[in-house]
Amino acid sequence: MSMLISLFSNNATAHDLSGSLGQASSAVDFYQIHCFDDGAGANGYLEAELRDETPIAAPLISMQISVGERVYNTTDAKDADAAYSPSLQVAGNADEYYLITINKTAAGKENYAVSYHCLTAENQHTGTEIFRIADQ
Amino acid sequence: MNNCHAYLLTTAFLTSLSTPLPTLAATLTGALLANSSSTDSYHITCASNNNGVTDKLKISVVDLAPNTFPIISAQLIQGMLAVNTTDSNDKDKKYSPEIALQQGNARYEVRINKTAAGIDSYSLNYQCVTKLGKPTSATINRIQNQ
Repeated sequence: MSMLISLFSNNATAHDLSGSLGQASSAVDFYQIHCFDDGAGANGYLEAELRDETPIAAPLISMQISVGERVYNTTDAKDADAAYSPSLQVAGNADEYYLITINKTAAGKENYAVSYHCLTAENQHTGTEIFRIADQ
Repeated sequence: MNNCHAYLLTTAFLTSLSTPLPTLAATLTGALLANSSSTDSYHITCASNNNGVTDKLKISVVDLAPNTFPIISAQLIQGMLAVNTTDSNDKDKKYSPEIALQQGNARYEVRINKTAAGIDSYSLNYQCVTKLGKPTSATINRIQNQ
């Protein structure tokens, strides 16, 4: 298993991420997203959604967002379109770290895209940075 | 928790709601509500017993009735390590491929979720074991029930 800790760090403005999952059905990619006040205001919540990219293959891709002891799931149930999974909005503290895991339902290499945004309670974009923890 | 969800919970699972269960090897049954975002999460603490020190935690999951579309997966997490297992066939009684994390005596997290909306139920098999494969103490606590 390849373990990369903070080698990938991106204080993103586009808030889009592309990644891939390896052949094993057990593969999980693991990220941390930090939401903070960059001058636009304190974090209110993290909004994120996932899209299963080519190849069009059997595995479905899911993403879980956790903060504290709360965790939520979203799945892109259709591989062959450009639509994202249902969006998750997960409330957090003014300065919050969220953990993101991404998995698939079967063996086979897959690619995915994640769109993520830290937003204030007034729905304004605020500070967002992402760290890759594990890349499988 | 609504009535439908409660209906799907087994007696064994209800027992686990109130009291952590120190076990050698165990199966726990639970249910996920209709929302596609539903996720159940558990902490499993592996500890030494007369068999020795824990080497790893092994888990697998089986998708129980109803035989509907959602596919059930479980993620096992400890520290910065995570692995996934999925029961890709709802129509049989076979467990998903077994996965493990080799993190010794520790508290592990298990998340269970599904790929679509619809109520579904599952059984989680978990076992803490030594390097020789002998069972050690496993205590499970439910953290989230959706």
